[in-house]
Amino acid sequence: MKLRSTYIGLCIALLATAVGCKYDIMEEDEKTVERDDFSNTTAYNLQIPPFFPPMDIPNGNPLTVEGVTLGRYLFWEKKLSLDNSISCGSCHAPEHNFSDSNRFSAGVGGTLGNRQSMPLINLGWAKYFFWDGRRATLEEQILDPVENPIEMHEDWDNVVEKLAQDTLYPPLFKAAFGSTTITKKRAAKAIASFIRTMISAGSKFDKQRIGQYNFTDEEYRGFVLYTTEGGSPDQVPGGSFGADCFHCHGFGDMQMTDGLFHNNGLDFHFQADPGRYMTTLNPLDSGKFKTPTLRNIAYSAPYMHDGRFTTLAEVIEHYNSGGHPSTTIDSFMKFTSGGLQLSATAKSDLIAFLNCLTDTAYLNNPAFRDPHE
Amino acid sequence: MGACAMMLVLTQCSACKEPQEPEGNTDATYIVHWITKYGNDDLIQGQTYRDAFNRRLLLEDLRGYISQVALIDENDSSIVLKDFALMNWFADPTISTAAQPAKIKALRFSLGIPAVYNTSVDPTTYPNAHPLSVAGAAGMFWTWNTGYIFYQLNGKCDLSGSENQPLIDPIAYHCGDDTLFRTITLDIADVTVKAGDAYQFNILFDAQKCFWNDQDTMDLDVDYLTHTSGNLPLALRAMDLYQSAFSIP
Ligand code: HEC
Ligand code: HEC
Repeated sequence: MKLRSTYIGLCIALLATAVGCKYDIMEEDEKTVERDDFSNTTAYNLQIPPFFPPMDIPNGNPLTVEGVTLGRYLFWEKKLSLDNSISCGSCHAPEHNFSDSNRFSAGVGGTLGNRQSMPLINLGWAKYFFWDGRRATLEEQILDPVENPIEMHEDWDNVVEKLAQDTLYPPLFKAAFGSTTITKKRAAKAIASFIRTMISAGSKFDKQRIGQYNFTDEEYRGFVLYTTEGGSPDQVPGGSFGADCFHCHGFGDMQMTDGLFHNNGLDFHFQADPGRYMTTLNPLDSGKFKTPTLRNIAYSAPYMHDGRFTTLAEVIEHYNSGGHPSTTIDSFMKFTSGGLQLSATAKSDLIAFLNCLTDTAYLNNPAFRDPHE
Repeated sequence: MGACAMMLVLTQCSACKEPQEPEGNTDATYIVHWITKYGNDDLIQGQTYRDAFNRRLLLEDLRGYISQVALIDENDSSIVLKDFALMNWFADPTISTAAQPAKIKALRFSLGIPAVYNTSVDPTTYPNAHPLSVAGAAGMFWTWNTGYIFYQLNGKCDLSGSENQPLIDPIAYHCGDDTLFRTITLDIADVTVKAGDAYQFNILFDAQKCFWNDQDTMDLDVDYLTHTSGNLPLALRAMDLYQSAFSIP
């Protein structure tokens, strides 16, 4: 019976492909095989900010106004959790750069994990997700928190059930996907669409880049430090007493991250959390973590994958020290050569520049706030 | 059921099929393959090798941009196989393209990105899959006015000379600047490649030469770090050594 209906579904789906070549075929992960129909949706007018690269939108999930709306409701939906107590927004709060001010976020029942929540900002351009980069697309990533026992600890089947019984959702799914059928894939697609619209490009740094803002002297000195080779020339070939941040927190695409994995010298050993190694099982990846964006960094405290630092001053002290040597520490860290040796003024200049990455309009954008309120 | 399958096949054929290759192939397929070694050993990421002073060293990252990969035919005209590629030298890289048949007498490619593309084109204007986009560069791009890293070698060595201490002393050669752009031409015994034929050319990349050759030797005690700016002399030496690593096996 199951096989037969699958087969017919496949026929219909392939037929649709043959005719229009534009529909997405949902994989049979749930009870029904049903294709998404985006023909009655409105294309979302995504504005790519100046000097940002194009955003790749996956084929099966076009960006639509209806999808983004549904995604926003789901992002803030507490029914995604076991006891209906937390939503995505609980650990990704706007006032904390869509992250969490607690070192470790409390999941359902107050369970604590061992990693700091991550800011959600310009993720439409990211290629890896989570601190260890274990997911390659937003659509995949979003399925995880719901079933993670230290987060929402709920079963997707139950979530689908709960949403189907809520009068709000069937019409929203119909508007976004052409039918009232609720599936976890559709939910993930909608949330991914919402997250793709969460774009920050209104910081002083963005404005300076397009000629609408002039750095103060302090901010400018901080920018120069950020982009200058670190270390004393006596100890480091080519050292220019800079802060060397740009190598990893690159800004060729304005994202303040190279999107890659590095060990920035937080620890000598990585038993507590081997980071990227957990995904690749390559010993060269031990202790490496995804370089976070520094956009809105003033609002993202606490810092690092385990939230060990509470202030930017502590973060800069860490880099200034050169970090703890280990077999995978990045060669940009000046651990063998006396650290960055930044003066007190240089440190405060650097913080002044980091504050230029603040975009309060992003944090306060009503389009990202809880629509259930 | 059978009818349904039939119909499927039919509609598939008429609507969504790739255009057919024309009858009779008039092109030849050219394959350029880099054989990667460290001296006599295979080149493997994370493997420990020896420098010229017999100190242990470990290679973590060894990548480079190559551009204008071309075959030179008997009339000295070039058949361009690839404009740009980011090569991971640990990954046994190969480039393959169909082009007109020819009698080939040399292989040519450049190390780095030609000046006109290096700093004057905003990388964010490329599609993300392009090797010169920020995403495609995968860290091989600095900022909008300094251009691309042409050649990057990251690793660790042991300066204490011990045989059992963990390798923690850094090695980082990040070379990229218009003055570091190099073109390599490798002569080969003439090869005639006919229409419909596939021919593979092999190039040897010996990473040991990134540390020493007949002209120069890196002493990792002092020659361990260059990001080009600030230490152009070392970047020039690193680039010269890197260039010498390519030959016909
Ligand atoms: C209990 C707190 C909690 C909840 C609830 C939660 N998250 Fe997270 N989120 C985290 C933590 C912690 C991480 C980092 C986890 C890791 O690296 O293993 C994270 C990481 C992420 C990332 C990766 C960001 C990046 O830069 O790679 C995304 C995207 C994300 N969460 C989206 C969501 C969505 C969507 C939901 C709701 C379906 C959600 N989160 C619910 C705590 C939470
Ligand atoms: C070798 C690459 C590298 C360099 C150089 C580097 N960073 Fe980082 N940075 C990282 C990585 C990787 C992380 C995440 C590490 C972790 O959590 O384990 C990080 C984390 C941070 C964080 C915390 C972000 C958050 O959301 O928790 C801040 C702030 C930061 N870096 C600022 C700087 C500054 C300022 C500089 C220059 C002084 C700098 N970084 C230089 C790679 C680097």
